[in-house]
Amino acid sequence: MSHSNVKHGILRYGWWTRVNHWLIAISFVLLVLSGLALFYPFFFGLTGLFGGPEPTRIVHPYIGVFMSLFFVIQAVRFFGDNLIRRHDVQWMKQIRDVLGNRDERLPPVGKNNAGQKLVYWIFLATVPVLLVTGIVLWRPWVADEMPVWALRWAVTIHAYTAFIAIITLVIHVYSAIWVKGSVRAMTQGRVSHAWARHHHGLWYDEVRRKEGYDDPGGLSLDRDVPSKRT
Amino acid sequence: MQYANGIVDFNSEHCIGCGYCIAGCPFDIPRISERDNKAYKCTLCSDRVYHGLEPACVKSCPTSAIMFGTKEDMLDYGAHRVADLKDRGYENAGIYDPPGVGGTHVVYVLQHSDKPEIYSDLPRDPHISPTVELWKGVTKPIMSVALGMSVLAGFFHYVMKGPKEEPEDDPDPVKAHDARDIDKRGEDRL
Repeated sequence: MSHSNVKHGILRYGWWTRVNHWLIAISFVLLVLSGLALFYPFFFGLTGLFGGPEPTRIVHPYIGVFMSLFFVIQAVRFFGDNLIRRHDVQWMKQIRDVLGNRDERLPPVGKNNAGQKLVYWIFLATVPVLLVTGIVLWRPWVADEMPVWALRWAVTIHAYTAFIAIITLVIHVYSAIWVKGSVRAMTQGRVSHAWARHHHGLWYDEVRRKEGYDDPGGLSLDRDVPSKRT
Repeated sequence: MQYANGIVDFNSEHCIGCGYCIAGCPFDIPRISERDNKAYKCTLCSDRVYHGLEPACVKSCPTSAIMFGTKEDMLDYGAHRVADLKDRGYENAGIYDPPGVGGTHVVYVLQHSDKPEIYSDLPRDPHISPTVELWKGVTKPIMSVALGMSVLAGFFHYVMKGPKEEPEDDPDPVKAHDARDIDKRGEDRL
């Protein structure tokens, strides 16, 4: 808890952003576990986590709706940070450097890199599809009113879309483990200046500019730093 | 599940009411009960049959329009009925035992077997829907393995390439901000 970033770092995610993210994350993991249990008998044992097979079936769609609500809020708030820019294309072309940890070769990027933006867009595409097909399949409220062809398509599309979303989740989670400092950013909000500059140079510059340090050799953001320069 | 006597029915103790059987059935037969949220369909009175009785519909049918027996016997009997119908001018009389689903346990003698739709919408050539194949076929193990592989890929990437270590600021705020000054000197990014 006493990591220096927490006190002196740059605020990357405010408290609501963090809470919102983790509400979605927890819901998503529960949806993956219950969904896999209902997808393939191999995973049937996971129903035990939810109090048995029937409770698993009942609770899955409610969690889905809960997650979707918070997902909409997050998607709107994150929209601007995830528009694809020219440097993102360059970053993507150098994906080998990204994976090989040759970060010094990469172009500076904004608050999110192209990988994070891709995760954003994939989730933005998959979650609504999962929501709509999931509602079609919702028993006992909706599915009984649906024609069989709709159920067949919904159940198939739901499975494929969920597959894409889960793979994306795996990539998202792994990236957080891989890029040290990012988990603390999403749990405690702040990152070191060096981290911000290293991974998100354009964002770092922008933050510094907004804080009123136009001088490229500007002062620290830390309010408690005794100003040595005048 | 299929009983030893060949009758197929649900095991209600295992049913969780997911409704996948409804999406899967080419004849759109099973329904989920509003009372206990479990799937049901005609049981062919498997309990009666188990005790050597015929299904209730057969027993109660006043004109013997419904018969019960081994499939072989029923197809033989049906063939006689078809021949009889053809004698009486029903040229297209035939037995409804659709091969696309490997035949059915309930077969019909139809006067117009070329138009099964006119009998309560019997499907002409029922098959398991291709969407069901897409969803339940090889997809399930392939997707499951792919998910497992993606996790392993992440793990081995970490093992091979290692993490992107966190660039840290100097814990001493004064030194940290001096260091940033030096960092920034000569930069033209802004």
